[in-house]
Amino acid sequence: MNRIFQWFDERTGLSGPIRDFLNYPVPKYVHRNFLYTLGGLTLISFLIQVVTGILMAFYYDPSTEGAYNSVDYISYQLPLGWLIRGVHHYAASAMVILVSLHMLRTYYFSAYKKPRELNWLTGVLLFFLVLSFGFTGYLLPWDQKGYWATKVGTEIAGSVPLIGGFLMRLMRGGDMLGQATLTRFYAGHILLLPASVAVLIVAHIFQMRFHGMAPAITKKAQAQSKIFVPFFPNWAITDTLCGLGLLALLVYMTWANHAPLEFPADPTSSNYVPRPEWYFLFYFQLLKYFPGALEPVATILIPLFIFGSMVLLPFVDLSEERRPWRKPVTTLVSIFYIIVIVVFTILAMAAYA
Amino acid sequence: MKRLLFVETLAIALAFVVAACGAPAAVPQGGAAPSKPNTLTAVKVDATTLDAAAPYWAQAPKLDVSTITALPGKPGGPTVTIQAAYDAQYIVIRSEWPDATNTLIRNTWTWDGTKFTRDGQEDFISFIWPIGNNAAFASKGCAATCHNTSTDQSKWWMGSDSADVRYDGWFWMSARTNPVGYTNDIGWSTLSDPADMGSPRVADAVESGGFVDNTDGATENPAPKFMSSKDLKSLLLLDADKVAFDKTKLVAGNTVPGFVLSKPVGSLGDVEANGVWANGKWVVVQRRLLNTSHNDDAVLIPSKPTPFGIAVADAAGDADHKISQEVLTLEWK
Repeated sequence: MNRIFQWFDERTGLSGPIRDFLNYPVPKYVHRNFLYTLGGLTLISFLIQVVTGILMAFYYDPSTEGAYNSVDYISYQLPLGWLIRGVHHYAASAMVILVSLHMLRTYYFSAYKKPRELNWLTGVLLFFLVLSFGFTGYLLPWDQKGYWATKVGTEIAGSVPLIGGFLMRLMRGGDMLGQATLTRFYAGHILLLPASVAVLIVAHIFQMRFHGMAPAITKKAQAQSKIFVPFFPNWAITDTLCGLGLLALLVYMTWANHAPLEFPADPTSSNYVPRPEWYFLFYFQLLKYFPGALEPVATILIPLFIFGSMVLLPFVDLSEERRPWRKPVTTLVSIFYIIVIVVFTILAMAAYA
Repeated sequence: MKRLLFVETLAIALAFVVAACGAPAAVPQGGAAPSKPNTLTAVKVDATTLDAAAPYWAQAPKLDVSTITALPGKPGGPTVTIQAAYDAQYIVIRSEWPDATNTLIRNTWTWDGTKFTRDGQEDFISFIWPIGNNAAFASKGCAATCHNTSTDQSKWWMGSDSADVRYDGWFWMSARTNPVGYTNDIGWSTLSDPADMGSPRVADAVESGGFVDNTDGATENPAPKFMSSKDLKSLLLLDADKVAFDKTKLVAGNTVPGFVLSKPVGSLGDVEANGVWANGKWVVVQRRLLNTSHNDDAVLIPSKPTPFGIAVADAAGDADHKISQEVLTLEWK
């Protein structure tokens, strides 16, 4: 076996970089801390999505005539198809949850501060790309839920002043939802977004490794911050175990409640009530408070403000202080956002129940 | 602080997980109302039967389906209460609805001493299932099959707009199928003959049996072809009891059944049935293989929600029936 590795290494020179990657020194306070597994778990859920997505792509038919039947086949006839699709479905939600928690951890630990601004920015981009995954994936089964949610979603984009019409046609591939829309969403979902996310993840991890872990904020952690352990097997085992736990949870959720597939899309339906995936519910609830002429406030100003705040955060918060309990403004602002999102989500769930 | 953050992240994660899973649905008990509107939830049982009083019906959620008239100017229909159960092979559906009379006549012959007249419409309940995925039916229900926009009622027909779009129908009839324990398994396709509004409705394949019009086929003064060898007063004529018709045995006012009945062999007889009328209501239990392997039948897959519709009639013709207004959905528990 050794000779095989040696033969391989002589021709690729990979053993050095791999050894460096595995031996990367990790502060001891990190490797068994749940909060520091969130990034790794997000990566694992992305990998789960890639694997399950590839498996489904073998059977998926990206045409308006065949999409529903192919997803129906995967869900109800293909051996273990229900499991693959279910894990893909729930892992999408898990990814949103994990990337959100990972960002919150980064935010509360002030890990976005100099010199890690670019790492924060790649994280912000990854967050929005993850949400884009959800939006584009929603349409692919071509069922009622996906069709009407996409119709509403693209109409929201269409309400943007000046460029709204262009944005909507860009997303739809025309004025109406149809084959062009499905093709664009499919290409985006399986090509553009995964490639973008993969590149950004590499950049994100490279940045993280380049700068090392952000300084600890608690005294106990600070006391251990000079003690290092190699990434492998210490942190790698923690991430792997958490990843297996996540996979087990996804399998259980699928087993307990198969991924939903509504009836096929009927563009002539007049009584279907569109509703988005749960992680967009708060935004749909928000839109209700800005009817008519006020709509651009919710479709443009608020999203731009939130995106802008996230982008500008490391360039605005220049203080040396990293402890959240000593930073009441940023802490209270985040708690306010969390409460708003949770409350709006619950209100929207009640409205759609 | 770390503990606080940990608890906070866990709480947020929990909130999102609860949101992802949706609000837990109420568990129906003791034949309680279903948790979702217009949804019939089939419960899993060890073995299904045609017994309307089987113990598992107490666990099967009830769906009350209000019906409206399919003909203008007619009153609405009864509320039909349906329940469903399934086992590894079969689905069984129990339907119950008020009906003041037990109708056993259909085109029954009446002898007035000089000639025959035919009269009589029966009670029925029918289920319609799309064969394959059907967006229009899943969205609009029976309305997707109803072609009644013409002001000329004789041009109304029921079926699909394309030969590729087909429906499976379970047509239980009080006079023609129930007495021999089955439901006519039929289907609807598109209007194959523009002059024949009944052409979309086709019976499933049959090797033998089924109900047969009891007529001698004469164009003038037609008469029954058979009569019962056992009971001349019976409103039903079973194939096993039939003998050649003998007019001399009749007196004025006597009747002869309009159809000779036997259980069909073939896809036409896929649906077993047991209907009992008592105390002013019908209780009909119908059972069929989840997958009959016949290409003229809908395949029912446990775990896959399936849209369907129902219609009932009280001693009325096919057009004069009462239909479920909304799309009904069969779900599995």
